[in-house]
Amino acid sequence: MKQQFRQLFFTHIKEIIREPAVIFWGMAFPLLTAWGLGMAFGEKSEVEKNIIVLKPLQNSQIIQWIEKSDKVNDSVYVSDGFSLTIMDESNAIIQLKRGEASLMIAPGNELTFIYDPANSEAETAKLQFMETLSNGQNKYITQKITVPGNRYIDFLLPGLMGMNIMMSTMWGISYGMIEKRKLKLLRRMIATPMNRSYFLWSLILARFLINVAEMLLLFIFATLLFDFKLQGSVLNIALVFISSNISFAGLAVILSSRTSNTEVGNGLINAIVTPMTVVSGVFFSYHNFPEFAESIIKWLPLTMSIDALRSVFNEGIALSELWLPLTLLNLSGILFFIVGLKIFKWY
Amino acid sequence: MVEIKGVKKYFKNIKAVDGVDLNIAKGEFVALLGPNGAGKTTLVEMVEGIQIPDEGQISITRKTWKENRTELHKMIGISLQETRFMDKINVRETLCLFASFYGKSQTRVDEILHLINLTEKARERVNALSGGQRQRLALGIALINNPILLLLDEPTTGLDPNARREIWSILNKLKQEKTASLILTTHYMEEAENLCDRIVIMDQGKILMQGSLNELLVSNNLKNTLYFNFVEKTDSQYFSDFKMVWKEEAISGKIILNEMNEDIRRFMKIIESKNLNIKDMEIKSANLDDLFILLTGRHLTT
Ligand SMILES: Nc1ncnc2c1ncn2[C@@H]1O[C@H](COP(=O)(O)OP(=O)(O)O)[C@@H](O)[C@H]1O
Ligand SMILES: [Mg+2]
Repeated sequence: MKQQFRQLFFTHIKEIIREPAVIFWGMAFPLLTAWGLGMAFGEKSEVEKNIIVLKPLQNSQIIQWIEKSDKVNDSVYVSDGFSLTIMDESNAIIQLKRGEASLMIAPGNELTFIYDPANSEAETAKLQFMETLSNGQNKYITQKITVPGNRYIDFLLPGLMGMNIMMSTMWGISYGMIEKRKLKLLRRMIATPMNRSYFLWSLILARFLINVAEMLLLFIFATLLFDFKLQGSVLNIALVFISSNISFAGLAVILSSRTSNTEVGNGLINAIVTPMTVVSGVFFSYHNFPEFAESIIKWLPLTMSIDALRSVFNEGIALSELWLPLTLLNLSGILFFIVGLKIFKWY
Repeated sequence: MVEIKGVKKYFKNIKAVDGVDLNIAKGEFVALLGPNGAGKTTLVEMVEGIQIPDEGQISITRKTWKENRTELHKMIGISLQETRFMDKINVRETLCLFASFYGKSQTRVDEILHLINLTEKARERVNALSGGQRQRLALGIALINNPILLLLDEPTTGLDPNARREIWSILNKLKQEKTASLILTTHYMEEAENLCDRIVIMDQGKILMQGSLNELLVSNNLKNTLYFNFVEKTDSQYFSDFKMVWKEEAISGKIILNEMNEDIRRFMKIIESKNLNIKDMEIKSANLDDLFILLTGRHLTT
């Protein structure tokens, strides 16, 4: 009996690791995403913010600012962390479209800023630039937030981990079953004394261990590169991780319990996975959604998983505050698993 | 050993198996011979416990699937029509996996590798195997538990003659050991003739006839077949009284010679009276395809 489980388990493991695409999507892809987004939204080194001054230059405040600044060339002046470029409107439009500048100063005697008010970066740049115009009367000091777990990368990594558990579990388990059903291999296997539940459990366990490896890899990578830290306890993170796996494994079993058509299977999984990836706050907070949407989104398995991962990683939340998402994740997983097994089609 | 009594299986309006009675003795090799759609797979899968009959009973050593499922699983070895194994798993690993379902050891796996002549391919992944090697692997898996009943569904369909002969030689070895009974489905008459003591001819869900090759031919008074070829197109109406099939309509075909002298005389008369030009003709001993034509007016294989 033990031999049977072991053989099934290692067969599943071999099937996973012998697929080169798995190594890429499961291991390299999350690392590259974390690295890329971490860089893009991480701390910027001291670069001047660009402001465009439209010709003709007439405003006296700007002229004063330029006089005391460093001249780079006839149309570019640098001071106080800003770089002013004087140009005509047609060139300015191009720069705006390319995202090289987001703030413009209109020609004329009055000081008029032109920018998109929804662009908070431009808004901030405007306010900071005004300070440099006010001749140092309102000088202030800015200090960076140093609270751990508060950077974008800290927000992003648990999101990527949650997404990775979902993707890996859903695609892995469903594909493994639908493909075997399609090849009539399930039919062949149950025509032996094989224990049917061993087959499912070994598949889920194999996928779980692969997920552990992927998550550890991502964690170590993030620690080395971004100084990412686990604020909460290892036990709590393990519980959240296991519960997420159970939830998605149950979903995977129910989604792949009947079909032997890989396209139908792919469609079903995509229909579940894609919306959750978009709304569940992997890359940005789902609090940006309207309130009624948010009240639904926060109960999606991926949202519960990511929220729990974030609160353990970044806030070090106590187990007593996690019982609701953990219970729901486990319950839904087990429920889906039982129903999936009930309607499961071996051939 | 195997008792099949009044078994029926319908799919909507298709009578896949339509009242079959069949007994198979210990150590007996039986071929289910019939064209595509005859109901062979459906019948065999009911014996394998994969499908359930709508009517009738099936028992193996007096045990039924309903009551002795696990026990029966341990006694039989099967190879399904078109099963594929896991591409990324090698031959040995595949055998080890199935061996573990029966609690069999690595030694048994090595024995099987030797028997199916895949020892050298043991470390090859399944997707690197040829069609014949895959079928041998499927056969090896069917044999892994030393079954007393072996059920093979079209084990050589689509294989080239060499690969087919390799499977036959493994099965012939097994036949000499006299430890297992075999039910094999095929639409190749050579396979049935070569391997099996008894041939069961099936068509449209029913058993048409059964017996050894000789019995089947003799009981139908079938000895010879006339193969002919005309120079140009004739009229198939001229030959409507014969038991025959056309290879090419009104030009070439074969005639089942039930009464050899009488039939040949009639054939020659038509040639004479209609002034037909024969290109060549030949008389050969009859085979199972000829018998099938006699019974149904159709070929076994199309
Ligand atoms: N699951 C099924 N659903 C509907 N029809 C089926 C099914 N299985 C077999 N049949 C039909 O039953 C008949 C017998 O099929 P089968 O047993 O596969 O024949 P064979 O193996 O001799 O080629 C065919 O007409 C086939 O189309
Ligand atoms: Mg068939």
